Amino acid sequence: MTPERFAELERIFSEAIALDGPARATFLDSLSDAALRGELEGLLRTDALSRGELANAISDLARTPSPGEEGMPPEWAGRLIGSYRIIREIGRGGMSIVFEASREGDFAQRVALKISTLAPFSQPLLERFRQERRILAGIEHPHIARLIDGGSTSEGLPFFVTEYCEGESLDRYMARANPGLRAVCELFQKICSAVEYAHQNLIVHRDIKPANVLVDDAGNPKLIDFGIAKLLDLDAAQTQTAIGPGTPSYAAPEQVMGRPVTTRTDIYQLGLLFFEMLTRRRAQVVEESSLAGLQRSICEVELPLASSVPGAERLRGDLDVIIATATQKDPDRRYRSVAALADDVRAHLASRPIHARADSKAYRVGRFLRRNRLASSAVALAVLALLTGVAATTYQARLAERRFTQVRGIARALLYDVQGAIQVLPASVDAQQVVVQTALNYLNGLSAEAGGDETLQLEIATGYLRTGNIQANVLGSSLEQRAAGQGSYQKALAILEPLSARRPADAAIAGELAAVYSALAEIDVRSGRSALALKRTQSGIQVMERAVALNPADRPLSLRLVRAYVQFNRDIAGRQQVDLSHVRKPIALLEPLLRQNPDDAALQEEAAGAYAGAVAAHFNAHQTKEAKPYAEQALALRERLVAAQPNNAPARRALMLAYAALGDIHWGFPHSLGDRDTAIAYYGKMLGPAEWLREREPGKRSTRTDLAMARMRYAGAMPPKDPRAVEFLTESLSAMEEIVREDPSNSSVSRQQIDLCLRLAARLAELGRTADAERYLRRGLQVGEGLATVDAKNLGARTWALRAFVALGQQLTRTGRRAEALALIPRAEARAREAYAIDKSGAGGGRWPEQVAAWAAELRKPKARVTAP
Amino acid sequence: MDPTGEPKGEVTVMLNRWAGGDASVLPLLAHALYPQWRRMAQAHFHREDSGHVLQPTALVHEAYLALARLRPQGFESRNELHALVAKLMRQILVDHARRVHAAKRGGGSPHLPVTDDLDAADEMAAERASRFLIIHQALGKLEEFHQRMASIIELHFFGGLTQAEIGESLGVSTATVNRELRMAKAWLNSALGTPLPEES
Repeated sequence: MTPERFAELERIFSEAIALDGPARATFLDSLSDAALRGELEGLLRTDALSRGELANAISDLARTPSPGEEGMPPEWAGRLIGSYRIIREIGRGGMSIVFEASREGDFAQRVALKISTLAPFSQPLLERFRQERRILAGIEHPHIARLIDGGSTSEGLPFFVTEYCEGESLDRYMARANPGLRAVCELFQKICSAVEYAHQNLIVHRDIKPANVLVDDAGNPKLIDFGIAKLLDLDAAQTQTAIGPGTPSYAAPEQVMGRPVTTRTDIYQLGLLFFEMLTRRRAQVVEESSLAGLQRSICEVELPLASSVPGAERLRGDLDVIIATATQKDPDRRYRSVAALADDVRAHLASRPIHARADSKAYRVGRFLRRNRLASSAVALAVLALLTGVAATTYQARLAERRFTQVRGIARALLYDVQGAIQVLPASVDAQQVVVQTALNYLNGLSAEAGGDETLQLEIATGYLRTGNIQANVLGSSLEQRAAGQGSYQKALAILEPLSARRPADAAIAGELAAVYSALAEIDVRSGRSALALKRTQSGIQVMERAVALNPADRPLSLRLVRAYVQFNRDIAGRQQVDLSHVRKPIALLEPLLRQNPDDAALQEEAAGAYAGAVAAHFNAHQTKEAKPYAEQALALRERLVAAQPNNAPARRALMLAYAALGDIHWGFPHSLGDRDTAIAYYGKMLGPAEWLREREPGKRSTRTDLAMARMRYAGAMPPKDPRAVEFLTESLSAMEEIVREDPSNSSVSRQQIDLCLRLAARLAELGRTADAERYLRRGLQVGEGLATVDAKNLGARTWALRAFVALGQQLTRTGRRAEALALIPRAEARAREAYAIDKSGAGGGRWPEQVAAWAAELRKPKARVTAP
Repeated sequence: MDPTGEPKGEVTVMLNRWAGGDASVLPLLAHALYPQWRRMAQAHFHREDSGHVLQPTALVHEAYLALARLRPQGFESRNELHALVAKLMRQILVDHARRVHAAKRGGGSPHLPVTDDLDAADEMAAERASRFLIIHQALGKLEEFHQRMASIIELHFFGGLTQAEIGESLGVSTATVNRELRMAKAWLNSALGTPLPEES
């Protein structure tokens, strides 16, 4: 066949498939070239069959395993990875290849170099690796293979370098050396000591399995790959493979369910390992064909008892119980530490009673309770006390201890695991919400039983505070999340207020209480209740001033007071009586500290915040000249901080805000200094950091709102007829509209949206584009009304809606459409009344009835018509 | 920073940087495109009885490694890069088929325990490899006659792209893609009916 003939075949094929039945037969008959006709008929036959042969052939082949071990083509031998030369391959798994290597120029130093073949190294992964490498490299334990180095290969694959260990994998060692029961228990205890040491350093292994334990000739184990599974897991989470890089047969339930991995995950895996060491059988049989099957087989199928394995009958009793306790499906029901697990193994060897045994009946009852949906384990334990008839006194002691462990565990998890995880994994919000709910269940159950135990009360309150922080700040900007956060803060408040009244000198209580006030104030401000926010902040300040006076050397407490002052100063806007008494107080507290530690970045940060607070206070009090030197000092510190840490995103953002403040001081407000050129220069400088942030984290919403805000300010200062301003404002508005579409409940963005509409309309009216101006005004009004309708207590929403009413009324009057303008009046009056009802102060909602009345009178006034002479 | 302040697609920016010789951007690029590539690889494992959770990942990974070993080159769009990845996946599967085929013809691994089951599995593997290689050869032939039709097949079967995506990628209408895909499928299926030639 020739290309020409193929083209001809294609032409007649196209014609033929458009015809059917008799028409097609007629068409075929009309062909003069018999060979061509034959080919066409062949094609039409296979076309009609459409058997999916091709897809099957490809998928069959793809599912055919490679012959032998020559699967992976890349040539690694002799390659230089980082500063290590590959000597030989020593192992290969589904997700990694391990080599023996030596440091370049130092042939004597043998290392193990592991290349992950799961996925290329992503930027966040690299950064996290750099952070964690130091911690991992600090881990030195006789039974842990030390991490030496790591990085990415020239193809971008992650690699890890650890000390090279002689020895064989645990399963091979067990099969070859066949150690006796006591020797197995002793070997297992050594493994436990390594894991326990790592846990004390806040490192969880996450992938403990026989292949990750090497045993040397003397029978000494070494754990390999500590902390590496966690580094790779981030990547897995981002690419949506729920299974992660672990080994399914050794995965704990929380791992396959995407729940938080903790030290208890390692305890589960140690249980599986112990089972396998004692029985030479794998404990967990998993079904890998689908994620659902995997989850079912790990989370629902009960593990067999070790003693049920033929030949392992002598394990019946303690060892069965120890393994069953370590491998509970619910992490809370496992040993609470590796030490507790190892203790029980030791007790068994010494023929002492084990601890888990005392609870074994409790576990059975516990499972019953769980099935019956008693969510709080504190409640469950209380019920257990009745059911199991444990002597009341010893039980009380244990209960208290358990409570403590639980609360401490939650507080720690919230502080490190959850918050850290949320920051690096924005996609995991759902899972974190589950964790928050669990934490709340615990806290609610515990606070009901705290009684007069003040230490326990404080811990519970701290738990509520942190839970609230996650709900309000991390989980989202939506109204519901904020309300949920507020609920948690209120619970903390209810515990801390009486506690602090009893113990005014206790710095810890005062600090937590002030933090709660401050968090509640923050929520009040964001919900448009500035008057209430002010009261909260003042309460916090009083509590802390008292505590600082009693503990003058307590630096963290002083810094908290500084922050409370700063918050107070920032919130001066919209207050009835401007109170400038706190403006200098934080600066007075900080300046001596800063003189002692001029290079302390944390103090510089606090000071920059304090100056910015002073700027806000003076500026809002219309004392612009007084605000300016503080703004310049804040900017100088911000520039220093960015220079010291060029990759720190919050520092860049603070710099942007410092430029914004100086711009505002010079232009744009009635009490600005009226220096447009200086303002434009400062606003223009905002674009640098804003674009840097946008480029670095393009998906993050705040980077988009920041850039939009910077452009808005820049455009706002431009002369009225500057066409570039319309361009900047339009870009900002479309960015905001996009964000609102993604998150319609975000009221702060909606307010900026209205602001942008109003500004754009003013510019467009100035340029004579009245129709466009009106369109934006109507859009702004629509958004404002929508916001006011959704949130009945939101003063800010009403303020912005009213601004839009006023501007639209004026615009309509100008273009001679008075009737339409007058029709706006009743709606505007209703909103003004609502604003007044929310906040009667003259600077807040109180001004609106009067202003709207004046505006309405203006609209109604028969105007001297501007007509052509 | 882009002086016009014009927001550009992240992927486009990275493609340009790669085209400009900045090899360090490839992992980032791959990271951004991995979900799509995984979907492409998944197309080869579409049947429900597939019991191999990790294989699509392995295929994507090999394609990535192959990509990383190429010289940086310019692409107009992510579609062109996807087309290259599709080509690489095809090549990887061809290499795979050749190894399977060669193993059956005596080059296989000596340390595999020999049982009836394994022999049967071997037989099936070789059969599958042969079938695949016939398609590969026929596709080569099709390339000579009609380059675009071959590309459509490649993007559809090896790239897992939809017809609309293929049209966008090749700059033709979806109707054209649909018509030519139909013809190409019919033609390749006819070729599958012919006896197996020996791989040289």
